[in-house]
Amino acid sequence: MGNLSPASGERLRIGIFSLTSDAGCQLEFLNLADDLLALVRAVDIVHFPMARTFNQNGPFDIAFVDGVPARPDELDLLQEVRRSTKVLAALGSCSSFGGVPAAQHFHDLGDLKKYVYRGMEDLDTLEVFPISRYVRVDLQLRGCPASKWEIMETVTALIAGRLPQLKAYPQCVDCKILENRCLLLEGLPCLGPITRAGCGVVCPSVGVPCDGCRGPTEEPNLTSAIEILTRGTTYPDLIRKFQKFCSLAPEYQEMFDRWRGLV
Amino acid sequence: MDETESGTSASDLASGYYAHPDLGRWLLELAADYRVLVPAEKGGNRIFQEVGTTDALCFGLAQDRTVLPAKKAFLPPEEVLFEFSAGRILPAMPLDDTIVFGLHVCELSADRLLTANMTHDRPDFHYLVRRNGGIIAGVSCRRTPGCFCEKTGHDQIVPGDFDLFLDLDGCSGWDSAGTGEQCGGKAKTSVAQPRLIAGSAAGRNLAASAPFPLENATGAIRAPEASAGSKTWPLDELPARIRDSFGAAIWDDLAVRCLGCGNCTIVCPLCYCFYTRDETGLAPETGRRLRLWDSCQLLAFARVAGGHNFRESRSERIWYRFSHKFMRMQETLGHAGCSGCGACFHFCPADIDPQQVIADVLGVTDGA
Amino acid sequence: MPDKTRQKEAPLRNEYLPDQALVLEVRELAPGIRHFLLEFVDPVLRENFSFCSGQFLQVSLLGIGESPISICSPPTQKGSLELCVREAGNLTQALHRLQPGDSLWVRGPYGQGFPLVEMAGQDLIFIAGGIGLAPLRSAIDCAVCLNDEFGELTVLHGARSPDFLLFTDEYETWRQSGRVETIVDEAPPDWRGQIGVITALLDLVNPAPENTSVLICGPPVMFSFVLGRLKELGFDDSRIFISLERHMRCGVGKCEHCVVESFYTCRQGPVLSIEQIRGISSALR
Repeated sequence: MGNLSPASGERLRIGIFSLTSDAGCQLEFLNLADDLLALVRAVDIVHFPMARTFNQNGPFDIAFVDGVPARPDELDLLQEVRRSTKVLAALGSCSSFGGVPAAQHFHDLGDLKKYVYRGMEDLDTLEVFPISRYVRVDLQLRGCPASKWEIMETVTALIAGRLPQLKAYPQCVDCKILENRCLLLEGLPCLGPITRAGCGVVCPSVGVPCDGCRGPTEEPNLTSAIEILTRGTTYPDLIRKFQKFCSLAPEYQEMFDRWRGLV
Repeated sequence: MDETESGTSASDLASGYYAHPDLGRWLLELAADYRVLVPAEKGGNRIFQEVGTTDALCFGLAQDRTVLPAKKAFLPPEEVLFEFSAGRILPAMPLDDTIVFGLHVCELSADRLLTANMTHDRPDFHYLVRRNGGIIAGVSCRRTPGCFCEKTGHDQIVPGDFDLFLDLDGCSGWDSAGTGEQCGGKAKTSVAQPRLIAGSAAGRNLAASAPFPLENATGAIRAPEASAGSKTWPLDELPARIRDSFGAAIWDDLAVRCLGCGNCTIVCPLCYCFYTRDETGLAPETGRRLRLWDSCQLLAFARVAGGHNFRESRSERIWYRFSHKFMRMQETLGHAGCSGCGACFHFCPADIDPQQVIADVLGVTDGA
Repeated sequence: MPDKTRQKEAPLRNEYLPDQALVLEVRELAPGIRHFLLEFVDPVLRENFSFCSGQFLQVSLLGIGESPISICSPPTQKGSLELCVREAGNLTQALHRLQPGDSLWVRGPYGQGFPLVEMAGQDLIFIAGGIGLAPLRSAIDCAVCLNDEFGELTVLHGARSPDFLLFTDEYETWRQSGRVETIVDEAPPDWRGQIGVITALLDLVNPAPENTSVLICGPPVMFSFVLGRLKELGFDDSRIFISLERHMRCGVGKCEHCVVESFYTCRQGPVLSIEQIRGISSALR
C-alpha cells in the first residue's frame, strides 16, 4: 500500500468513484451524519459525483471505488483512478468480490441480456469481476454496504500514518461481546462464524441471521460450517446465500465447484 | 434454555428465574453509590447488567448461564489504556466501584484464579484497580445443565473468595409477588428467606443495609453435588498428558469440526488474552490506545508483521486453548484454568465438548 | 457510601504507560532497515535506565501502535539507546518516517537477555541471520567493551545480499577482539566475499566447543541447520542461546500471544538456551 505520510501536513485529497452498483456504499459517506461534517472539515473530498456538482481529477491520496466495471468505459475510469491515487480502497462487496452483479456468473450472459435488457441486446457489457482483477487494490472495505466504522478508520488511520486496522476475524467474536442471542444455536442459518466482522454485527443484533455480505474470514472452515448450517436450511438455499454478495471470493470457489458437480 | 411455565416443585427450581422484591430494592439503593451488576434477562439471554439500566432483577436460583461471565466487570471487552493529545499521555483511570452480584461457586472460584493470574509476576494495573476496588457477591447455584465444576476442582470456595454470599439453601424459592411479570413470567413464588454470608469486612459493611439476616462465613461453600459418578479429573497429571498430546490426532479431529469462531474463549470466565489498537480522530494528534479481548482460536493470533504465523494450523490453536487451561495455568497457579461452567460447550456451534476432549486426552496418553 | 474499609494495597505500577524518547539520529543500514539513536526525555530515566543485551522494548508511536523491538546498543552505553528496525508492518513503516527530533514511546526493558555474566572467561560465538544481528550487536559491543572479561569473539553474519550486511562499519572494531566472517545468499559479480548458507561459516571457523558459548539470532529457517551443525561440532545445548521472535502485545506475560508450549517468550525469553526448549518442537519454527 502506498505509504501515506502525514508529515506533509497537507489535507488529504479523497475521491469517491462510482462504477456499476446500487451506489449504497458511497451513500454511506452521506450517512456518516455528524462524522461527515467533521470529515469534510478535515479532508478535501474533491471527487464525489453523488454529492458534488463539480468534481476534480487526480491526484488523490485515497480513492474509494464503489461497484464493479461492467462497461468498457468504467474499466478505463478504474485504471485512470489507479494511476492517479496513492491508496485505492475497494468500497463494498461489489468492488471487493463482484457483489450482487456477479450473480451473472451463475447464468448465461446472453440469456441475462435477453431477460434484463430486453431490446438492448447490443449492450456492451463486460463480465463482472472484483476490481482487483484489473488494478492493484490496497484495501478492501467489505460489506453491503461498506461499514461506516471502516470508512472512518481508513481515513483517520491514513491521516495518522497508520495501516487501517480492519477486522479479519469472524462476526461471532463481536456478536458474543454484544451478548446477542445465538441465532445459529437456535437453528437459523447464520453465516456469522465464517464471515468477517467489522459491520458491528448489524443483522444478528436485531435477530436476523448474518447473510455473509462481508465475505469469508481468513481460512473459513466451510466444510464444517455447511454441515452445521444445513441443519437450519437446505443445501441449495445455503449455496444461494453464499452466492448472494461475495460469490467471487476465492475461498468459496471450491464449494461452488462441488455444488456444480452435484446439479 | 427450557423454561418452566408454572408451579414451584423441586424440578422447577432447576430452570426457573426467581426474584425477591427486597433484594431488588436493596440493590437499587446500592446502585446510588456503586456500579452494581446483576445477571438479568435481556433479549432472551441472561446478561450481567447494571442495576438501573434494567428493571428485571431476576436471579437467585436461575440456572441459565450468562452469555459473558462476570469477568467483564473487571476486564471489559474494550477499554482505554490511555488517551493522548499533542504528544502527551493521559492515563485512563479504571473505575473501582463495581459490585457484581450473583456469581455461582464456579464463577467465584474462576474469579479468584483470574485475579491470581493478573496479580502474579507483573500485576495488570487496569484489571486490579477494578477488581481490588470491587465487591463480589455469590449466590447458591443449582447447577446449570452441562456444567462440570467437580471435574476441574472449581466446585468449592472459601470465605476469602467472596465479599458476600447469598445462601439460598433451605429456600424452595422466594416470595416474588409482583415480580413475575418483570421476569418474563418466569419467576416462581415461595416463602423462605435467604441469608447473607459475609466473607470480608467490605462485604460485612455492605450487608449492614441488607434486608436479609447476616452471618459471618465459617467454612467452605460447595457447589451442589454432581450427578453420581462424576469425579475430579487427575488435574496434576493433566499437564504432562496435554504436553504429550501435542500433535496427536485428537486435535486434528477437532480442527475438522471447529469453525475457529472464537465463541468458546469469549464466553470463558478464565480467558483473558487481549490485543491493543490505537485509534485517532480526524486530528491525528488526538486519540487513544485501546485494549480489546482477543481469542487464541483466531488465525491471526500468533502472526507477526511480515506474515509469519507461529500457530498456523487450527489443530495447533485448539491445543493451545486446552494447554493454557490444563497445562500452563495448572503448572503456574496450581489450578486448572477451566471453571467447569460449560459455557464454551453451550455456545459452540460445532458442539465441541471440553469433557470429551479431556477424556480423549486421557485416553490417547494413557500409559504413555 | 463507597466502601472505605477495604485495605488499599501498595500503589500498582501501570505497565502499559510508555515513556517518551527522542530520536537523535537516523541511519539507513540496509534497504528497509534503519538504525535509530534515542534518548529518554526524562533525565532521571535517561541516566538510570539499565538493561541486559537481548532484552527488548515495547516501542510505540501514538496513534499508530506498539511492537516489541530488541535494543541493539550495549548496556555499557549510558544515556542513550539504539534500535535497529526493519520495515515490516504498521508500526515499523511509521518508525521509518521518523526524523531526528521526533518522539517515540517506549516501555521496558522486558524479558531475559543473554546471560553474559555467566559467560565470563569464555569464548563467544555470535551467529546472526539478517536483522538478527541487532540484538546480538548489543552483546557483541558489550563483550568488546569488556574485552578482558571474555576470551575470543567470533561473529558470523549471513544476509540476503551484500547490501543487507548490517553494521559493516563496526567490523574493524570487532576484529580487534576476534574474528568477523560474513556470507550472503546471492551477490553481484564484484562481490569477493563468501556466498552460501551460514553453516558454511561454521565450517570455515570450525569452532571448538570447549569453554565456548554460542549466541544465535535470525530467521527460524536458519535454526535447524545451525543447531544441527553445532551439535556435530560437539556443542552442549546448555551453552547455546537463541533469541526468539513472537507476536506480543503486553510484554509482561498477560496477553498470551507469545506463548510457546509452556513458556512466555516475553518473560522467560526472548533469549533461551537450547536446553530450556529441548523437546518443544514448535519453539524453533
